[in-house]
Amino acid sequence: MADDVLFEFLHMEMVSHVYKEQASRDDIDKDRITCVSILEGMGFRVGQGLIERCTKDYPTFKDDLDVMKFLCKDFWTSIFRKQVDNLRTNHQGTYVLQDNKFALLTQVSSGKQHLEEAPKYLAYSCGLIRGALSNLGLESVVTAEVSLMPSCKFQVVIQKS
Amino acid sequence: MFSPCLCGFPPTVQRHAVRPIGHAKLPLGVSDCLCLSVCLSALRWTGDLSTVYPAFRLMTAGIGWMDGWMEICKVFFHLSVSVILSPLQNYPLYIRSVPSQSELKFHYTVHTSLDVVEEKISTAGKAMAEQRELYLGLLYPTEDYKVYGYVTNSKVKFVIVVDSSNTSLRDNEIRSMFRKLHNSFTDVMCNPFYNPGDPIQSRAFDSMVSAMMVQSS
Repeated sequence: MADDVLFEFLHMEMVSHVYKEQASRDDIDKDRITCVSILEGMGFRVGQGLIERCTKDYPTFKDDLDVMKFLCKDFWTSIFRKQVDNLRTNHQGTYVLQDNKFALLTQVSSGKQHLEEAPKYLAYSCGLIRGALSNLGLESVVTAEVSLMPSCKFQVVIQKS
Repeated sequence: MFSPCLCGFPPTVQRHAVRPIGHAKLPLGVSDCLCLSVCLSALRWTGDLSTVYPAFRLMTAGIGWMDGWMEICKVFFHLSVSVILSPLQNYPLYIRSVPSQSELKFHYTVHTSLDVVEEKISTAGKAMAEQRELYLGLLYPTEDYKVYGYVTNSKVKFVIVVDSSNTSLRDNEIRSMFRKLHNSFTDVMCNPFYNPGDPIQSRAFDSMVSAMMVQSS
């Protein structure tokens, strides 16, 4: 019953811990960047492990779009108990995942309040997506943006090597 | 023109290939000794001094060098079941064989079988292919063992090499072996102390693999 909430609390604490740690060291600007990259790194490693577990019984993916669909449906469901609401693509390696009620942001606010704090709470999830894709063989760059809480958009750009 | 090695054995292949400049005599070093270099390689591959050293002694005895070479050959061609993994960059993360010798041969086998695996992944791209592929076929008609492959969605490849004399191992047993391997690998992957790409050192994984090999042999 309380399962979902456990991770939400942990995540909030994680974010505040990372920021508190960094605040006691360097100046403010460097803080933001390091903190975000620390959180993203954590998410990356977890994403790698999680995707291994999620794809264990799944047949091989046909192409990138198939991978993204899996990410939006099964992967998102296993973590946030819901699917991504909207997936858009330009068919050239850029995908936008839109979640209208992002689980990690629902408790922060439901409007424009605390908008500037939102990126902190999205770093981990960006890492999660990047880690998952990296283990599936797709190098990517993931960014997130919020215009109205708790809905957010993750932009995934697959790097063609 | 060419001098024999320190042990009295005919010169190395490299030195056969090199043209002597004038008639300059190159100093003979320990590395020029063919017997020693082969034994050192054998030692590196097997890590087993007890089998390699007697062979080396025989080789350097002068009279019995042929017997020494026979001993070294026996070290290499010992057949067994082995389990190897490799990730995206195709280097092995884990390799294990029973008995724990002659891993070099399996390295070689696995590397060649990886080509077949790659081929299968790329051709099965369009069709909704099965996650696993079995029985890559006898790669070497002369050698009598079978190679099975399995690829996960994260492009990690598992390879099992089985002695052909071990005909009791059936298709579904191999499948279940791969399933167990995949499950244990997933556990290793989820271990926060494991960095993806490192060699696998998990004891749980080791014990699972040992149990599996004991069961199949």
